[in-house]
Amino acid sequence: MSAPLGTLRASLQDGSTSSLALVEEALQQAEQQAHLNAFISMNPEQALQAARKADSERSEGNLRGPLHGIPVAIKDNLCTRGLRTTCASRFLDNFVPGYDATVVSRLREGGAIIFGKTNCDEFAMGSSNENSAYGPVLNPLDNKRVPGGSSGGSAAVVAAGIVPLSLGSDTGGSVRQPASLCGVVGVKPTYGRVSRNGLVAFGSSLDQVGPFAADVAGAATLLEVIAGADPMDSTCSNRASEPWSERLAVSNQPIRIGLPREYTTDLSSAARTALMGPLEAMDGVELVEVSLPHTAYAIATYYVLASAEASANLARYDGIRYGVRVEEPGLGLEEVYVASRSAGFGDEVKRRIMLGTFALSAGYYDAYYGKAQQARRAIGADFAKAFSEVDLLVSLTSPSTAFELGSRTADPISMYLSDIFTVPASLAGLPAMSLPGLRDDDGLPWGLQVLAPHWQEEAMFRFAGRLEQQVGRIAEGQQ
Amino acid sequence: MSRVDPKTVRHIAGLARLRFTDEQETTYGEELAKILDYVAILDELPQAAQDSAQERLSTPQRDDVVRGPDAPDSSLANAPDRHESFFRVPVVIHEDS
Repeated sequence: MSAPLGTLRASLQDGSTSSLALVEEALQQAEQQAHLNAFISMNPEQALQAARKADSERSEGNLRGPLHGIPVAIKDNLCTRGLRTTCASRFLDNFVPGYDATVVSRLREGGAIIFGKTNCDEFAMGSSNENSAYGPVLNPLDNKRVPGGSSGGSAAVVAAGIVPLSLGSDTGGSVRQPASLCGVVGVKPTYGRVSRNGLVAFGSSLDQVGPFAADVAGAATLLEVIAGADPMDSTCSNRASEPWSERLAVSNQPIRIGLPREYTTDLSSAARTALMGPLEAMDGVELVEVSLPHTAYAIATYYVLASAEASANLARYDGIRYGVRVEEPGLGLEEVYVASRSAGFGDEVKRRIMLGTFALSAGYYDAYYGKAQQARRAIGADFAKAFSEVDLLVSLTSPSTAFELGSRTADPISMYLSDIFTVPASLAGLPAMSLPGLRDDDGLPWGLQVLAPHWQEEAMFRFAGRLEQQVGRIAEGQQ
Repeated sequence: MSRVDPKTVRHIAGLARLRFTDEQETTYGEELAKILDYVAILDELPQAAQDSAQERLSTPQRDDVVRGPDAPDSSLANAPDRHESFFRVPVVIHEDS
């Protein structure tokens, strides 16, 4: 199913395909591409049943929304009622939620079909999908390479053409970076745009659910369906969702695009060409160099804050109410907590819990957590100043294209640096998205990141649509 | 160069309710030390940056609405061990012997 959402919707509309046919094809594709290891759980019967229902509603003229009858894959850290939700952790290997995440129930109410749960880094901690208890996901474009992470499975299933849309979550780049490495579109909305209810918490002040799609219009449509106020999440804004996908009409309206100096100084010449080639060829685009002077602090700030929040959020996994319990005769309650956590969590999760606990512990709190909070504010202030000079910012999404499996696992810091261009927008709560750029010499896509001021998803999508067309024109010319 | 000795690793692990083997204590200590060396860059944050004003965020309010209880069955559905409508846990109160 390599067709973009718009084409599938048109085919459903004119009767040349059905939702049942789409789901059957997706199931067949998932089987053929099982080697990607992109799904953790599926319920084919339920998906087929939902497809039949969607077709029957369509035949009665009852369309629930723009995603009526469209299969959507869901990252395995979003709760799905009755369908196992593991967070790619041994700890939750047997966890079956009793409720749907708000984003999942909005998809169901909108007629979309919950197709399956995608593999990811354990508790969304990672940049390569190599931290999953269910094994790594392979990049569909080159099976020796990683798909990026943490939402690697969600990026891979769209890139492989198994499903047209999927949901991921982005804490420091976990939607944008895998979108970049797999050559699809991935969006991190403004913090507070989308409800986190039912998203298993990692770093609560950073986590946002975001869409993957083959094109900008598809991602915009999926965001429309999931965005908007939710009484179940007090950090979710009361701002209503907007029809972003209908406002993409491409114009050459003059626009000022900022290029952050700190994101371009160390780029290889290939990377620089990937960034500048499409931008310089566009009409009506004024390119302006801007500075985000506190960028150098971003990764350290992020790993202290996200790990501190994770250490608190993951304290709930004690083996008592759900998850795996390690119980041996003679173990007291406290020892059961320790044994269950030590057996259930993987290495990277333990590393971050340790870092977070350390950063919050007596004697170190001011030096680490307190300092990181100050740096976070300074990074936010950098963006506010930049956006007083330009409309949007553009950068590469990741400093490299997809890297080889195993090449960065030995050194946590080198893995953390994969997120250097995505983490700052997360710290500032800004909307940002990745769309496929030109390809490198190995045929692997670069990702282009568009960043906008808070709540300016419309401007972000409109420019991303223009950039998408420009990349398409250049790629066509190169063939 | 930071050093995180096994004693510190044990202390932090205790706070985090984790347990490591001796070998793991050494590995985690070394990894933690490397990460702390990297995040030491935060010490260089300029004074002006430390004083930047906090952005004020507002929390959306919602009405109190009574909903049906989610318990006990759905709350207990994933319990590793239960007894009727209770989570069963290891004994925490021992009789004096």
